[in-house]
Amino acid sequence: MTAPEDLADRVEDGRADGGSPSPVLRVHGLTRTFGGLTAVDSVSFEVMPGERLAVIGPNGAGKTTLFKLIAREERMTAGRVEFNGKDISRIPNYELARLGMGRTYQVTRIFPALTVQENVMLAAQGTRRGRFSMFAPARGNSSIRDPAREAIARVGLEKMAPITAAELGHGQQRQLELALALAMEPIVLLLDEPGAGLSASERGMMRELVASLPADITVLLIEHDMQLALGLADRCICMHNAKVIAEGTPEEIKADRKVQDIYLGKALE
Amino acid sequence: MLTIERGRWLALAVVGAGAVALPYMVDSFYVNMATQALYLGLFALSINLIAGYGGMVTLGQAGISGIAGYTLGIAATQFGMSLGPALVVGFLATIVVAVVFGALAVRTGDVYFLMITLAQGMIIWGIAQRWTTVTGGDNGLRGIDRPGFALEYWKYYYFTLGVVAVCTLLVTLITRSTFGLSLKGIRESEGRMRPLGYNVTLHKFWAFTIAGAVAAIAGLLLAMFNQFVSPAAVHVKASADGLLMSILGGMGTIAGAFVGSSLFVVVTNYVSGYFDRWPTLLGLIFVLTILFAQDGIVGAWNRLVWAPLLRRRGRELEAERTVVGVGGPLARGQPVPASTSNVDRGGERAPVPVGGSPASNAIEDKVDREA
Repeated sequence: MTAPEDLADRVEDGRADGGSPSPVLRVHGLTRTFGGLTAVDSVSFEVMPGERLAVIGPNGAGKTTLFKLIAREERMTAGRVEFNGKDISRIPNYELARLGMGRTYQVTRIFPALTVQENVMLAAQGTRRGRFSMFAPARGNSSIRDPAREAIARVGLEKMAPITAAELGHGQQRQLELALALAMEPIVLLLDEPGAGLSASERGMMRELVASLPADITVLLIEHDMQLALGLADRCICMHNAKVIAEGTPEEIKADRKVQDIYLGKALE
Repeated sequence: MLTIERGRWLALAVVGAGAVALPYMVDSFYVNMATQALYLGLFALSINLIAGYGGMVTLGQAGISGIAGYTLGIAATQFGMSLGPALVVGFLATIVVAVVFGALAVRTGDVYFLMITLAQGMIIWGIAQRWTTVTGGDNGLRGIDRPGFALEYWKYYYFTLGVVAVCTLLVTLITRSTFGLSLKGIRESEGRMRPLGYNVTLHKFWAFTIAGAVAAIAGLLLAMFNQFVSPAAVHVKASADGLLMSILGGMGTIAGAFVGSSLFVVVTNYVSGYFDRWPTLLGLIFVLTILFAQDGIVGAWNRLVWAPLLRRRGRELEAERTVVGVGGPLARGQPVPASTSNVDRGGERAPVPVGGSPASNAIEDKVDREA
């Protein structure tokens, strides 16, 4: 049970003001095997509060599985994930949302039959007190409606609020997907290929959207598109064949030989 | 000027006035039919709440509803309790059964949920049929009283009308609440709800229990109307009939339950007097509904009459305010710069300078598709 007033505490847990900040997310030796196939092989890294970390790598490198493990959608074979110093390796994934982890999906996962407004209100109320409130109208609850409106406005879908989500274009559905995650007011946001399936101009706008996220949200980003990923990230992790093969600033990653080998033939500017 | 909202209230007022005036206009046969339509509608509504809103299709609701009728009958005839306490005992016993059945059933989904609820209903039916010393077996239980103030057919009609109206109001509030919205979300995508922070199983459990309480009221009304309960009331056919009414009227709508029950009662009680093949007629209506209006009569009404009206109304309002039209490229509004955001988690939230346009507020009514 996390109420809005707890949000302040949640943030402070993550960033020890004044002292040296502790990582908001600590991934240690994370491994997942499917039979003989190792999808994620003892991956370890830390993410500091407010940091933008991009996970890059070619298809099948294990990026999405890594996200699923962190988000507790997939059982981990070995390893440990700490969120704000709390071991989250065993908790149910709805608890994770209440601790402050929001995420978007590579394949859009929204509620197509509901309106944009209802979609985002669902996201807003999932982590707030009052989701079991039975007799007060949902739209009358300002502690849920306001963050929902704010999230809708942030992604620029105000005009679409009363429209059924299924009627939106693909790009707008990607925006809605992001609004769902934002309405949760996450501490850590996992974005799985936010630019998937978007046109070049739409990608540009999505990039601006992600870049304009509040600085106190920690963002983990999977991206195929190096341009998009490196432009947004403070730090990068490059995965290949289930392992982390390089880690560093976007510049270091671009200069890394191993990364260049993997992306051989791809433009790196 | 006739706005959407006023039109809706007007329709409700007309139906309400008609319901109140009914005993003054027609004889006892029709009034009793209306009474049946009311408690059957409430029963269908309880199914609609879990099936239409929660996405859990049940075939055992008559079993739960029948627990109320049987407990009332047993308390009244075997233990000689007076009506008031017997009603309370019947209601509470049903809640207990709904809690136990719900705890078992909500762990599953889809067809498995259907099978489990079917089995649960059959258990109740088996007990009603076989435990003759308590339930009277095939003969059922006679001697259930109506309330002293509602003995005559028309008084019992008003009593039923009042009880059903209050229950329907409560269910309507639930469907429009945050909890009701969560139920719709679970219907649409259970898997998406969990990462948003929802304990889906707990929500389903609550929905099942609430629906059980509504079914209990319907079961008590039925037992008092017939002054009799029998295994037929808890048979799987009774559950299926309720589901049928719910689908005919329109899943996920409040009015649909009553439209469906009215149609059902008219065909089974009235048309059957003139037409021997009335089950065929009922089947035909059902097949046509599934083929041409899977969202039921109310759903089709909303789709074909209501939605175009809303759209026209929305366009008119938009033309008045000359706001930008709907439908355009991605990110029509530029992303809000971080500085103007108020994701200030520490202190008080500043008022959000967003506010839907008047047009969008008007179409917001589309949100609740209940007619």
